[in-house]
Amino acid sequence: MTVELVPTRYDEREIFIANLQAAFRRADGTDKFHGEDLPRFFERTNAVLLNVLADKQLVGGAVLILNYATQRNKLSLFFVNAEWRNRGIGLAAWRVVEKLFPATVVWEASTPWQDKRNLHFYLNKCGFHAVSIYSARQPVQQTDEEIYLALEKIMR
Amino acid sequence: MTVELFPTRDDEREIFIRNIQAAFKKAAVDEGGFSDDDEIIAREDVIESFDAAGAQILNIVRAGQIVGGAVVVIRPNNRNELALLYVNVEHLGEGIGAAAWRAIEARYPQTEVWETDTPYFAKRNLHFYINKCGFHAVEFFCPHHKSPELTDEDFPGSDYFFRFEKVMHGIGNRGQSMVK
Repeated sequence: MTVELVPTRYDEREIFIANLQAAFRRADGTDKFHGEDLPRFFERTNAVLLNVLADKQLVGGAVLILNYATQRNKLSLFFVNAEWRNRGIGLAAWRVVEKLFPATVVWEASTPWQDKRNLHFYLNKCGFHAVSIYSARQPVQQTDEEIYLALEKIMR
Repeated sequence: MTVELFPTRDDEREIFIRNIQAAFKKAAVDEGGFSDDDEIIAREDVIESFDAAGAQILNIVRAGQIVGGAVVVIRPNNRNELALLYVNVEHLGEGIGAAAWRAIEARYPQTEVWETDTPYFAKRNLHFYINKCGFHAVEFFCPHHKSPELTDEDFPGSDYFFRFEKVMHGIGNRGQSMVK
């Protein structure tokens, strides 16, 4: 299987967002990105949107926020469509991301603490380290909800 | 808050075992959904840690009183391990853990990398090691990625746990220690 990343065209954004929402809904059962104004988020952060293709078929997507000055870059959102999971596409796509932006000093990402599948993916497969644990609401010891791990991968 | 570290005497080992069993049980009951009847760390496992090659057993002492303990494994290659660390249950939340960790770092300044691990469910520990002590979670052991060191003697929480590292020395420091 050949995995490629290609820029998402403007007229492909609607399908990109629909797939992203479906993937995240499936991952944690919430409608996390449904009410949000993703197009505006993409504009505000000057995000780079990439389609993940497997053998030329659209199977997922990545949202990158790049800082050309510091080269501390962020894998903001990353998903593989449900019917394409468990085939190694996520890891193959991540390797392509690394190759596409070789000047990167640090890649940043984050994942819910609850999501063990993601923890296995980012720590064991992609080589990220968890460098912080935080919750938007209260100290992590006092809640099981909305706890995240901040991830970093130092490239050079 | 400062604490001191003193080697645990042989006749203090029983206190260490009893206190660490109570401390680990509290964490497992509070955060891991375990019951008071579950044994979280077996007596034999604590003793095995005491007897490991390179192990040093330490009391954490504040104002003359034992308030916790640790077992560290000091290796010739300076990749050292925090094998066990506990704070007495009646002294949780007083900053003893962080003070003890600072004292451990200061006691073994030749260390290049500290390693430790903790169960996935133990959020209090995750906060402690990652946010307070500066460790990074570098590996996540789970059914798809089992620890090579884990054999048949599973312990509660052993199905999902993190491995941590804290890198202490840059290349410059390493060069210095080679000169010594």
